[in-house]
Amino acid sequence: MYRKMVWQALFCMVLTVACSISAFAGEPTEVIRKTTDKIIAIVKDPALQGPEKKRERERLIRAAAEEIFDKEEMSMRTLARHWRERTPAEKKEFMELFEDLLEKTYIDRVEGYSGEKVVYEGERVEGNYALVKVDIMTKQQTKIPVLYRLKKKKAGWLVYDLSIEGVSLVNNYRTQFNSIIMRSSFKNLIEKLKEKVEK
Amino acid sequence: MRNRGHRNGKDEEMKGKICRIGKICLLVVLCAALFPGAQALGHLGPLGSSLAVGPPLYKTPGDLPVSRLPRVRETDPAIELARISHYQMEKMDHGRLVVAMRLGKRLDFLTGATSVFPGRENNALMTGPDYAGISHGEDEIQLSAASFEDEKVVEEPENWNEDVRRETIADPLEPMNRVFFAFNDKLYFWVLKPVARGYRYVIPEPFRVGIRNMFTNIAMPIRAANCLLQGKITGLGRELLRFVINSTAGFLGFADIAKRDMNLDSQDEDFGQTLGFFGAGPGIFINWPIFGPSSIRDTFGLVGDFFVDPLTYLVSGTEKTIAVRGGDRVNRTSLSIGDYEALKKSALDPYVSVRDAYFQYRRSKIEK
Repeated sequence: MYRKMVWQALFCMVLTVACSISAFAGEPTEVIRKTTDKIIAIVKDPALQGPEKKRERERLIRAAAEEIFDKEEMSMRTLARHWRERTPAEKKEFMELFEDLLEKTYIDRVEGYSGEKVVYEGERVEGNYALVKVDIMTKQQTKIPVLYRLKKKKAGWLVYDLSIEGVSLVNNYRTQFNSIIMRSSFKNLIEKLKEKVEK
Repeated sequence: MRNRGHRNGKDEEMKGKICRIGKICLLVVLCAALFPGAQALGHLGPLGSSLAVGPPLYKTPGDLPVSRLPRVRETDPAIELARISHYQMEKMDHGRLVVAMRLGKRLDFLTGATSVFPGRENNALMTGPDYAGISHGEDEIQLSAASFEDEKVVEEPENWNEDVRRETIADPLEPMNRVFFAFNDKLYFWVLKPVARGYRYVIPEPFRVGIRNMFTNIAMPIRAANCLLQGKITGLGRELLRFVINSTAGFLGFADIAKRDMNLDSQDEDFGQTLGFFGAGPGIFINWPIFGPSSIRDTFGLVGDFFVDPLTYLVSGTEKTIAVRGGDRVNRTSLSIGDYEALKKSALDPYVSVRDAYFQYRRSKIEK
């Protein structure tokens, strides 16, 4: 009888440990999955179809995306060295413009959604950082590997970069922004961003 | 005639030189094959050979005997690190520094593990992976150090392959590249896109996917040869198996049965990647008219692949070649209309965006 109890206790312990491990390991993936599912649901929602609903659709997608993207972290990383030289007001202005640009880009991509499948390939967590690997399978059977980079903040896991086919969004913008600042000025970068966002 | 003797002497000298260069190359290839770390260094490009000296990070200058300090070259094809006039150094948590360099009026910057040794002018030891593109400069260079803490760049765990961020590719030919970029842009919007759209309208998508598969299938030797060259034997096996299955059961490759039913993916390998695998850096960025973004390494790669490509031998004559390869291009474009437009729309400087995307894309391919 004691033996049985020992086994039960052991079983329970193993179960709790196993549960906590899987819950911990799955957290960043769950963040991505939740938002992806939410956005796909918005795009697919029959009540939100058609060009006249575009604005409403965009608003919902924007709201869903804002939940998981860490705009401050992304802004810091894209401006890199130039971030430090900015005043708080400049930082704020840049952050808002950059967020607009990202959302515009993101919404355009999402709007083009046509039944691609999203396969969750795995994740790696190290301290406050995590990678989540996703494959997007297009209708034409092409596999597009996507890598999300997340960082744990007070608000939970937030995305600060994503790579599509090995091309990191933040790195790509950093190269562009650096090149523009070097050639002209930060002011010019802001002007260009405004122009792009307003278009 | 009167120079004959002299010339012979020169020839001998040349032969000796070639022999020596050959031996060095062989050694380099061997080292690259033996050292996994050497591969990573290869991506550093021309700079890799002179400046990058491997992964160990020295926290303080005292960690390293002075005799082992590599001297920064006075001139280097990709970078001029000459006449370092002054620098500041801050101590870092990671033992890493970000170095900003002033080249004339331009301020470029290196990110990466860099140790600068006070009191030793002209000596800078660059280690680590995060090297940024630097162009030529004729003026004095200032090195200034800043903490990665502020940069928010290398806060990520350093041992994740995916997180190694080497910055970008050198682009001394930028003015010319931009001209060809504008040319290719017009070529796309004025010719390729309208043609591909008309074609898309006439041919249903499943057929276009099938035609793409056929072209992919016929190019098997390129992928197989490069799998072999990189010692990726499983990849080679997959390619051969795929070819047999798809060429027969898949109607000359029209249907990708190997992938659909047997989960055998095609191995995206080419000669440019093979060169990268053996440690060749991209060199500089070249944006070819018609062919688009490339680098010195990948241009050699394209030429190599051209000779292994069965299409080169199956289709003879310039006109036919242009027709067949153009057809392939139009067919592929018809399946990806909108991609280039999206990139352009999201970019502040489409040229820089394409250049960087190309660099990152190729780098990630080589790392696989």
